[in-house]
Amino acid sequence: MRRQLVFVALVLAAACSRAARKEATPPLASNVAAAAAGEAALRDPGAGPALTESEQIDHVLSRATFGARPGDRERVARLGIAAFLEEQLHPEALDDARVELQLKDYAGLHRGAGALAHELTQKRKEKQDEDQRKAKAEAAMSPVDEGPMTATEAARQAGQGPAKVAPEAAKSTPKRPGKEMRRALGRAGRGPGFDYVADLSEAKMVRAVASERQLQEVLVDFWFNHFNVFAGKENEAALLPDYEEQAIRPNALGSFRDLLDATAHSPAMLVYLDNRHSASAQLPERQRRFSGWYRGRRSAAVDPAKRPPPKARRGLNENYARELLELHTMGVDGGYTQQDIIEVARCFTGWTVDQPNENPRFVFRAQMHDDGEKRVLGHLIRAGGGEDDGEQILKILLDHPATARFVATKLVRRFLSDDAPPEAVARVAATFTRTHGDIRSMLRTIFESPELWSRRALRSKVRSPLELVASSIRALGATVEDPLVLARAVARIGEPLYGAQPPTGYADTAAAWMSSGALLARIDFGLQLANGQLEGVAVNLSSLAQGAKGPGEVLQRAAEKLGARELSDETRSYILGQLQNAPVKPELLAARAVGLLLGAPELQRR
Amino acid sequence: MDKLSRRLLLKGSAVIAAGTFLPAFARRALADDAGGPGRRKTLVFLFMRGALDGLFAVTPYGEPRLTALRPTLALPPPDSDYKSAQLPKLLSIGVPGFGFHPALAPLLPLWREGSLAVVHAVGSPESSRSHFDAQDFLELGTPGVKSTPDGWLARALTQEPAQGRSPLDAVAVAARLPRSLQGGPDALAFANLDQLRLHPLAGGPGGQPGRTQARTSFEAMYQGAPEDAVATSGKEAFAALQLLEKKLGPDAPKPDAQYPNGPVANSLRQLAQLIKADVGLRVGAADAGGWDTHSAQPGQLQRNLGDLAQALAAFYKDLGPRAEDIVLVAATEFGRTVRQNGANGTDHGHASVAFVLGGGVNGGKLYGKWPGLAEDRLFEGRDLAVTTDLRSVLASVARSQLGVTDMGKLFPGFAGAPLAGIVRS
Repeated sequence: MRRQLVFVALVLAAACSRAARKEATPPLASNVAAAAAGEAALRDPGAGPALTESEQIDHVLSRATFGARPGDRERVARLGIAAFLEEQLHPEALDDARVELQLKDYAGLHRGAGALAHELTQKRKEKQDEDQRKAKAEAAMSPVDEGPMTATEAARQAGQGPAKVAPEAAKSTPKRPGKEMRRALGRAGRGPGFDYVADLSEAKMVRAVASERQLQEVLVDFWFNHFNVFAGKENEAALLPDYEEQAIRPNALGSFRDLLDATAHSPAMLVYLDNRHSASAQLPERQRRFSGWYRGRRSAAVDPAKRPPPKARRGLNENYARELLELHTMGVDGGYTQQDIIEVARCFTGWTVDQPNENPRFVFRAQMHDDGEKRVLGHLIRAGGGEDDGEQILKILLDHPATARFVATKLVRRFLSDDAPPEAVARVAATFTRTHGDIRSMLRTIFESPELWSRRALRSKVRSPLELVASSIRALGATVEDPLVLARAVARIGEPLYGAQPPTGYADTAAAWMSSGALLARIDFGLQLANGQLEGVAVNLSSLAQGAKGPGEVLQRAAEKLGARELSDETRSYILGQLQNAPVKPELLAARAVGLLLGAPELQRR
Repeated sequence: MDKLSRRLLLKGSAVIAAGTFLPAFARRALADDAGGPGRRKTLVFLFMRGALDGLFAVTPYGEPRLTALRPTLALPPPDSDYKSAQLPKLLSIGVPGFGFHPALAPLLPLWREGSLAVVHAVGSPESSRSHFDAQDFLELGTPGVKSTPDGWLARALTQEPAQGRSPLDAVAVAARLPRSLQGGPDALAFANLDQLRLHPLAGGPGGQPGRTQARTSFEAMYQGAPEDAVATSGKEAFAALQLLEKKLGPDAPKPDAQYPNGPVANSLRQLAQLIKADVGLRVGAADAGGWDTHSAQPGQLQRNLGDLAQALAAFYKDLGPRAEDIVLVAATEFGRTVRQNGANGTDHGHASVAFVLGGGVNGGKLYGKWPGLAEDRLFEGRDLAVTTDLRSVLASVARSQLGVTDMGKLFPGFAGAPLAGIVRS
């Protein structure tokens, strides 16, 4: 309760101050791209001539969005690059009603962790009871085993689920025939919790493809991976919608301090990195005493903070402490020791989750907390600090230069290039320190960096599977009836959404995404999309062929549409050969051109 | 040097020197039709994800407390005169006090001829009972450390001399590359060999000619592309595809055994196909799921162990003389509680069993030190204790199959030695 009140108060305070507060850094100068591009060419003549204006526009769209839609280039040209970026830096002012309306369909996003966790617990219990019943029946009946009833069969027998949506029924629905059926079938037979992650994955695809707040969504993806949580652990499926919606998205362009604070207090993170089990080493005995006291007062209304943890736990768990230092703040070479990890873990003992399976909430349990004195990175944490120990650690980490450097490096790697030029990192780290982690300010520093506008940065990033799929759909203006199909394509290329097991999240470098199997999956995705073979995704390529004077012009238009103006001569002449020398019907020429282009090496980059 | 440049460099020598249509290693692979890249030794890792109850698969019926701890899960000993369809007797394996679950009957001939070994009370020194953590730790080969950048199989492969490489060195029959193969030389993952092909180009012919056309189109496109990470992956991918198309065409070896249905058999059948086709496979990886038996364990494991045993037996028979060149290890992330729970199942525990199968295996023996099930011998008062680190089994197999010599690089931080005697090296 106290926590909730504090939270509400913080939200109100933040809302008030946001309106009134002056921004930490001034808006970008209107000639930011042209000036930086010129400076880059002067400083580094070896990189080649300065980027032209149209290259600058392609480049900014490749960095601040999931790829250009038809008309985006013209719009940025009209508006100016700086104005476009400032617009994206303030997503709250961008109208996104169309996407928000579409997202209303996804119940999993809006029901809250309490309702989802409760339902998930129920479903899992039902399944266990069912298994138990079957086991009894099995023992009573013949030794011949009929095999387990699949979830699909179970749903059918229960009169619900996919079997209810018969093909005939789906056909008779005039609007969007097949959508519901496809959706139901796509989700059939999966374990409890699959639906929540499917909703979340579809929403992610919808936003990446269609949201006007592109930079925000790019950053939500970035920060989610920075503070990664894996959907497959325990009941994370139920916790993730709130995690992304409340801990990540509102802070994606806000302050790093708020992100750190929100993730540290989130049930999703406390479950994922086991901090909820972390207790003072002397716990078992104390807890036993406490439980005895508690048992006698079961009927009384209990303050969640005093409710004992459900099972005796094994003492200190260093998992969160380690990843907090290594992945969330200082980085693996940040200069901390194993002893620092242990001390940080001691500080966070008692930061746990109340009722994780019914109504998960952050709670601090003093009886789990190690109240002794700690020393972390040269700071003394006095004995008896209680919950505040953890808060002090977050503050120490936020102010540590290693954190500024580490976060700056990751941002520069995402927005600029894999090698994260040290000069750019140093400037962004300085902004971090000066603004106490204001993300918008750090992004402005990146957008002002000559390194960003150097020819070396142009198309230097390999597209992640998510970026590849989203950018292809955006470029072709495809109509997506079933976003789960896109999420599946992303998974097949190597990035199952919310499915990164390790706390590192998905990597942001070419090496992580390029493998022979993944490349074949990329090429095949392009072929399926262009051929119209991705069910639930419609592409109209007729404009590419209409009135075109031969294959050369079809290819020219297709390349233009896909933003592939910098196609190498080899690729261009090769594809042209494939268009000219093949007995292809004219209406299929455009599809063939797009299929070949989407799989080309140049299109794997942004 | 970062990972990417190291990778490019590793491959660079072969790729640049070739200057022709295919990288040198692939040309070598294709040139020698008689043996392809030659008969090579292969390591197959079958990951039984979900935590197999080792006490149920290979039961220590000689333990006096067993029936008290597992009143409805413990099966009667092989020599008992108890007769019941619900509680079939354990199979005798010639080791006093231990018996196979009856569903493992298809493995008995392999056990008796000495090509199958079992390691009992095997597992991780890490006490995690989270599937997610424990699977990670096993695949990385670094219990307790999640930030290890590469998997143990990837590290095993990097210790190989580069000149013997094939585009199909490492294959995972899985939708995605498992963590054990990430971060090393390129490995190929596919759920089904049939999926390793492209849809035809728009307007192209259907079926195999269309797929081949799409493949050759992109192959040529990537051949001309400037050397970088993307182009390198492309060249490797198409070399692998071409090798597969050649080796697994209409004349490809047919299975020499009857495989059962099901995912494990399907995966092993495909790996056997690659091995018999001499594509140069060094490491094969596959998964076998369905071991997380919190409830209704007897029925589930009867089926699952049966599928596993039939698939392994078929795999071994299918390989024929090539069985001499392979060693398969089937392992799980942890075992299950010694006491059964209230749902006729078991919960997450600690030690389990591993199966080691192959022509070079010193089989018919139970390896490991038996810790016993006495209360004071249980790990944390509830689980079978780990007396053999699974890494010592894996190290032994990596040495015999892949020539790995630097155990410190294979398993950073592991002080133990390869398990002696289990494979002939």
